[in-house]
Amino acid sequence: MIKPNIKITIIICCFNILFNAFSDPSELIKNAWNDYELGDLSNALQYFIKAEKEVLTQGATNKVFCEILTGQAFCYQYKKFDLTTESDYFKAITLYEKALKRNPKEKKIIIFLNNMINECNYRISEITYDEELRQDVNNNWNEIIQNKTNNTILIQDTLLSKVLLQSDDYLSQQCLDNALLLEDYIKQNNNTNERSSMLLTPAMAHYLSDMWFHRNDYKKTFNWIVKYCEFGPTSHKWRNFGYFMAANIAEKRLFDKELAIKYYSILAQEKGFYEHAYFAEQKIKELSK
Amino acid sequence: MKHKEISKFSLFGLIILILCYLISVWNVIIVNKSNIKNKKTLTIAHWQLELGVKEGLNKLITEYAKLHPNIIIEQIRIPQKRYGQWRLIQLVGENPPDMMQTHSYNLTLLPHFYIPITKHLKDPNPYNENDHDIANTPWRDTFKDGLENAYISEYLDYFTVGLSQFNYRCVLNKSLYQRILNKKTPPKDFDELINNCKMINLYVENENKKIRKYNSLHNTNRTLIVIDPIGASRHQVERLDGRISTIFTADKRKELDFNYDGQLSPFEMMKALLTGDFTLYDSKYKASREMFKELTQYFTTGFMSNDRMNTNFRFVQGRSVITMIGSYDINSFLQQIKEQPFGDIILKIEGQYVENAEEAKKKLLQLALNKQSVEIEIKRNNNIKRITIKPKRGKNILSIYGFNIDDINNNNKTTVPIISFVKMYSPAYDAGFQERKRFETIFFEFPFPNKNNEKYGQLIAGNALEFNNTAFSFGISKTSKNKEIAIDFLKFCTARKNNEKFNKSIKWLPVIKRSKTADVLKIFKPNYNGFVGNLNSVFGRKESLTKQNQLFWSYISGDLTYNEYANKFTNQLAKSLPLNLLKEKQENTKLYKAYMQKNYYLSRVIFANNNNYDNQKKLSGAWDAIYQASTKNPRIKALLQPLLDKTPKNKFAELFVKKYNAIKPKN
Repeated sequence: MIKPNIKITIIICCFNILFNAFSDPSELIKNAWNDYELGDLSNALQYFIKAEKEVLTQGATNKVFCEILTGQAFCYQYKKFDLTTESDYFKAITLYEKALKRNPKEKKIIIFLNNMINECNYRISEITYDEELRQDVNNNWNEIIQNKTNNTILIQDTLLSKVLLQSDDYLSQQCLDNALLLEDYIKQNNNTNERSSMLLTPAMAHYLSDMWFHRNDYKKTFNWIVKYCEFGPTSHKWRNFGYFMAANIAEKRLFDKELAIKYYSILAQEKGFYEHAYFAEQKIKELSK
Repeated sequence: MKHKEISKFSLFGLIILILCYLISVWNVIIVNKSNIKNKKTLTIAHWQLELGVKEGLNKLITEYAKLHPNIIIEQIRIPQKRYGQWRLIQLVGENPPDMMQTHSYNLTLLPHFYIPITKHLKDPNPYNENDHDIANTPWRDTFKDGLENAYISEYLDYFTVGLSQFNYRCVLNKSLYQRILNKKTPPKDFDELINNCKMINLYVENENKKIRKYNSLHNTNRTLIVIDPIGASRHQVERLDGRISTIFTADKRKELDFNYDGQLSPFEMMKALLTGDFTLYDSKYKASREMFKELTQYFTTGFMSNDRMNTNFRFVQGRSVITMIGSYDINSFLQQIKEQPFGDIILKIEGQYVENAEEAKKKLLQLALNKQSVEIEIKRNNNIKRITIKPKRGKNILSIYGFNIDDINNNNKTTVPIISFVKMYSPAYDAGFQERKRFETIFFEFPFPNKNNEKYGQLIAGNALEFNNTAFSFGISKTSKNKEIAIDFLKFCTARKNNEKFNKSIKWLPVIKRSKTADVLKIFKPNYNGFVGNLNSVFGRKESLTKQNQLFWSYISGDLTYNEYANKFTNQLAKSLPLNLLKEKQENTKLYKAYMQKNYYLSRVIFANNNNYDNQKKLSGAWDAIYQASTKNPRIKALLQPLLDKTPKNKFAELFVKKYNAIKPKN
């Protein structure tokens, strides 16, 4: 019969504790974000929870702590996509609040966390039809947007959240008000020399062109799609899309041949790369007659 | 103490063990000496088993090894049918090859198992340094198509780089074509093609009549001949159908593109059907379907159950006159034709040597006047044979003997008289002569109808664009230990001079701008002068498309007339599209995924210690994706609600709105 050897058992336990004690939280966070990016949110959540335990024992900066809690909250918020329940959103809010309690030094982290809470609350107000909560969220958004000292990317992110979460009906007054808010923001900040500070404006311009199109204001549609081309595109693949729309709207809605030829000419140069280049070439011939 | 003696058997075992040990030590020394242990091995898996690909890739590998002697590159070749399953096992087992051939559209696999290569594509390819026009061009922009199709919008990244382009062309069997139609050039237009097809069918019909007659007169059982005017399978049909539809309906599609974004969404199609701007009786749409049906009459019987290889094989065997072939098959295809029997070479007639077809024919005609039988010495597969043939009465060689003789280039570049054709009901066939099966080919563009066509001309929109994306694409496994080497090897393979050399050797189309193409493939160069898009596959979700297919093939097979097809399909659409619409309105998964991704990039911007411009750029792209997904419903509302509130007066709209009102949620 094998007798249990106490010494060996203690040594094994110590090794185990030491091994666990030296699990690298940054590696766990990296794995968690990797799984999150790939859509494996259950696994990501496990990694984030493990990472939280690790930093509780090993210690970490408030920023790292906030990042871990944010990751966990994201997992609750998006794990079930459009089937996410009120309680999932509450879990996420609790985690964001827990992060806020760690007193992160950077202001951008505080705004970011508050913004995330706003997004959750807005979703809850949609589920529970809670108009009061929705109004609160709107007030919070406005506060962030109006404070010009805030991080510009976060202001733009908040603006887009406010506009796109509330764009059920292009013909509604609320949609129009939100669109004017976007227009104001872009007009006020258009002169800025720093290209990177206007990072999210392509999506804003894209939205505005679409909304004005469905409101039959084709001049504004054209102007905003041209702005989309100027600010963007958001990826190399979409570089011709805006010009195609601009050329078509100039031709078919604004009846401005010259303007249409100007934009078709940009597309015609992309033969071999862009699928509508030949069409653009033919259009130039047709409109030049 | 007495020691036990070691038995001979045990001693033998011990010697074997020592020997094995010594051999192992020797091996280790050899390995150390040859530096193999310092070398890194890069493995590449692909499914391109076509003739020459392995050798072509090996040549590239050898060239690469000259520059990087410490790297060994190995190919793993898996048949296409097994590749998908095999790849999945390798990926899940976390032991995949470093580089794996993949489709850029394989969304589920790419981001999970392959590394994004976007950042590498922004820098110039160092292996292009001597090509001054592209030396400083970002790697992505050196590709003919700018890798447009390799960008995965959902993940805002590129994951694959390809080595070749593919395209399709028609090919005809010159011997068969010339014999049946007495023509040397391919059809110049659609009408000529159809006439040729009719003539081929008539020829087959007449020949078979004669064979049947011969069989009944001589109590024989000669097989009837089977020659398809156009050899086709599902593979060819899918490519032809799309292009035919494009040449007719590309302009109509643009007309129905309500928001001018260059795409025709299912909702824009719904709007067009509701307003009556488009019906299935539309003259252009109808013409595209009718023309396709007209063409299918000349396809191989049961073409939808044929596969590509089978169709190629039938063509190689001379059982179809024309077929459509992918550039990737060219090498194997031409080789197969080369391997067909060369044909009976006429050496002597009645003991006298003959030099050419002219001389042979002259001699045979003279002999036919006097003799009852003629002895011909032939060479078949390097064997000499003497065959005796009894001539019949007739006007020419074919009617007298039942064969044709032509001068054919021999391997040593001299011409020899060959039995080029043997009639099934003739003295030549009875005597056992075998006709030449090897033939010359002519590649040509499919003669789609153009605006000058009498029947369809007025309904034609224009040519269809051949926009061929980079193919033979590779992704780099996430678990690979040689990621940097893999990227470098891909850069090497897609440097202009290397890509040109590689593709020339395997007779494929190169992918890099301004690279030279193999002569045989010049006809395969894509035609960029054409329109894109058609009215196929725009009728909603999978269920509608399945029904559309069922009805369409009933129309093609002749079970339904066009009007019956259009009528049934319209009714079907009126029932299924409201359901599609509701599903689309309720489906928000894409939107939540877009938010999930946006928040990821935002958190990277907020928490990352370095201000990574890539994350900021991706954040911008992610917001664009949110915009696309979150404005779907307001767009649908703006587009369709007025039509649902005030039903237009047409049968489709009435049926649609009735169904929609019956199934929509009551609140």
